[in-house]
Amino acid sequence: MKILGISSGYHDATAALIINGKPVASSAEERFTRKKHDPSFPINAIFDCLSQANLNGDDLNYVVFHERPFTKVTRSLSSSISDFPKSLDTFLNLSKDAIQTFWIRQNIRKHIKIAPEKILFVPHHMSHASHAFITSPHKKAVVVTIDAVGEWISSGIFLADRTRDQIKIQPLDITPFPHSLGLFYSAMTSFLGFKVNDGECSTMALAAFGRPIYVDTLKKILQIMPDGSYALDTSWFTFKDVARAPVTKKFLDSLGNPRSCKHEFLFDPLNVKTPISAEDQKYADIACSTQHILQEAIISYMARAKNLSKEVNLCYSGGAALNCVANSVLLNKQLFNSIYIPPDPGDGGGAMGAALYVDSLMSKNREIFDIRPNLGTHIDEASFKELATVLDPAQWHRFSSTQTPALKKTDLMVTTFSSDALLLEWLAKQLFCGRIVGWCQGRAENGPRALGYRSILLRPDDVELSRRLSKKIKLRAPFRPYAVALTQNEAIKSLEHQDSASLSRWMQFSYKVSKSAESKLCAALHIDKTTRAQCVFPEDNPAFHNLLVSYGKLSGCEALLNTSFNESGFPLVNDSTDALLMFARTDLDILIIGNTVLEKRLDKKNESYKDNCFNIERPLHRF
Amino acid sequence: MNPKHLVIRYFTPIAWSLFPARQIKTLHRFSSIEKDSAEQILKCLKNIKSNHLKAHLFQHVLEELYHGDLFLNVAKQDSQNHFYEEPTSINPLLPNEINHQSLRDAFAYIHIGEKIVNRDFIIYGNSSKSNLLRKVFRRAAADEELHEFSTKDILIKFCDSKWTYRFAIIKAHFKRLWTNYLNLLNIIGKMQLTIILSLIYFIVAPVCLLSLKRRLNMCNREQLIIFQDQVNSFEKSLR
Repeated sequence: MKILGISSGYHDATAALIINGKPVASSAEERFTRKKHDPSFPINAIFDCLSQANLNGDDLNYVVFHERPFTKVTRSLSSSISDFPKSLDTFLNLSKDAIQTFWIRQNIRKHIKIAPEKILFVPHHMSHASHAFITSPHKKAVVVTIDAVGEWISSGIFLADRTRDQIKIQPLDITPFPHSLGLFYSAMTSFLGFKVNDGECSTMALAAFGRPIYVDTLKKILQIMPDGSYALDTSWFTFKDVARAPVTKKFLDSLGNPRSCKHEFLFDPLNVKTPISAEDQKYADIACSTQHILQEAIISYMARAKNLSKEVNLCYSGGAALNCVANSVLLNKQLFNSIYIPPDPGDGGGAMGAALYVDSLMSKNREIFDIRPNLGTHIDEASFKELATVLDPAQWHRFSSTQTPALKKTDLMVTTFSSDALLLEWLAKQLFCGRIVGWCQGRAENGPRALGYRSILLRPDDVELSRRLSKKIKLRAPFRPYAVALTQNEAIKSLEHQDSASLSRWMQFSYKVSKSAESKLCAALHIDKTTRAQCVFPEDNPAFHNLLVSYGKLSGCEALLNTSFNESGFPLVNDSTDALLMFARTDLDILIIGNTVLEKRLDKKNESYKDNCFNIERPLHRF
Repeated sequence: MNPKHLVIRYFTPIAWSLFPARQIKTLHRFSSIEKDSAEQILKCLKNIKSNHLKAHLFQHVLEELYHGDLFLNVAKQDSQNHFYEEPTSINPLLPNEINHQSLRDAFAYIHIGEKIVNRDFIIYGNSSKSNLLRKVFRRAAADEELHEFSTKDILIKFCDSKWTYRFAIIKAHFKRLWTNYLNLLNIIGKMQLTIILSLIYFIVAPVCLLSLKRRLNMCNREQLIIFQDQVNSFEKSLR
């Protein structure tokens, strides 16, 4: 049984291929078009998935879309018409989007030769629920999906069971639109001057600098009921167009004007002495109150899920499951024996979920499988080597927005290591010397987080280095902290949660760092001394694990600062050319693809490490 | 000076001083065009075998991306309110199955595009009142002039005779005209659609208002039953 899942139309369009119940490929369209969160029909991702499995469109049994377009359209139009006659512009905008959604079946058939009856449309929250449960190790669990909105529903509680020959996922409770935790958080994100469907992580990061002093006001907007359900007072928001003007006059009267996105926050977890204006502090307080009330609502909704299902295992997905701070609060509450969050819990994962759901209905006795977080495109080392050897960096600095230094042809060096061990040993030394490395290995991650396949790596104990990363590579606001990748041994030593190692395979939670490890991980610490940790296991990603061990031998700490390999405004790099472009445009020191290394050999005056990195012996040949 | 350039030269400065938002929108559009151009060339690069040509195109991509950054930064500086990037619509120059001819056609199209944008940037640069903006346009125009010649060289390499070259250029001009015609139709179509949808709104909405409001105000229980029905009917249809 070969099923292709597709999600598109709102953000993060994705394609996923399932063969005999197991996901074999999954890619987001943004990786090919290089437009972050690209919502357009994922034609490139579809062809990539099919080519990875050597299939044609004719070989597919079903093509499954992650939601029901007609139901979605009725909701969009209903919500716009409800304000008649003041909502003509909203109605027109939504109608034009809706018309495009109607052609999804034709669009699929235009690219894939498949009978119309083989194209199926799965309810949005069933896609999320199936993704969370079928990829989990559980035989029975309660599944909770919390999203902005999918068709008419914003969150759902499901009872899932695979103890018999067929998987059964049964809805127990739903929350209808417009009562939505996701929309509430997105609207607040927009109010705080960040981009909706992209800047939610900034709201979460900013929250750590604030005090929850606006909780009482926000509780008037988001009411949490004693039974665990919640309701939004919609008189505070206009959800017809969240991205533009999500708040009403009532909201502005209570909380003041929205923040201008031009104004930059001066909060910095690496420098607590930075003076902060009263206005900035107010926005941080609002962010903190927003995060606080979101956590409270999620906890009570989870308690409701437990009461309704009487289950002790939780599978959790939807956009809200990307909020690692809320996930950690949930974890610490110990409502459940185990919590499972898939690697890509957002709408991108919906493509895989929809395909898995249809497979579960068509097949029996499917075995539990271990999901891989990297089902994307395989990186081509040979083409990288060929291109890297002919590049001339002389003009690069003239066309870089990050003020990179001028380079000569001889400053660029390409080398190929004859073995993984030699490469890792050399690379560990380079990282220890304070160099910033772009690391691409194997297939790309299919979720939004870099998990050691398309990552930027550097030592985690150097604050100046992480500042350089923010200013000259990532162009990232200083208040946003970085994540850390560590081995199981290091996680046990450095993180203050007993199960942190087993839980944090895919960076779903943030953890308090133990006092003794604070100095070792200071560059990846947030202001509240937490870090979003990824525990790397040798069976998951052997090369990355070995690199951490090699680095640990030099530094005494098997951990590296790990951030996504992308420029500001671009998605994660997908192939070697994308990686090379970022290498040329930014101040990255080293780019590694497979066993091939491209290195800028520039003696930086500001280098804080005295060791001469270039004198490290290299048992290899130079091109 | 053609009529388009006359409009840019004499009306744009007035329009921009009267409606600053218009200037921001235009700059953002230029940023999108430059970034789009970079992506198109990047796609060509990924499908070319010659490493030296790849290296040349790599530099070209870097330059186009940089121009995109320049325009975006100026637009951001001038923007007083929330700044939302509108998604660019990329019409891929290359089809899914790429061959020598499709690459040749793509380079011919890019070459003509560079030529047009170079002229436009010069006029915009001369018409701009802001020093920063003039500098940005002139910098971009200077680079685009080089691109115009370099893409011509690449195109010649892809053509086996003078006639093939001329044919590719004519084809690219027609493609450009056709694209402009389709864009115009699209604008007209959207206007017609807006009129039809507005009529629907004022005729249908009052009739449906009550039932739609009822649907919006349904309690959780009622919505759950509808959702369960949807799930059950979907599962039943498959079994």
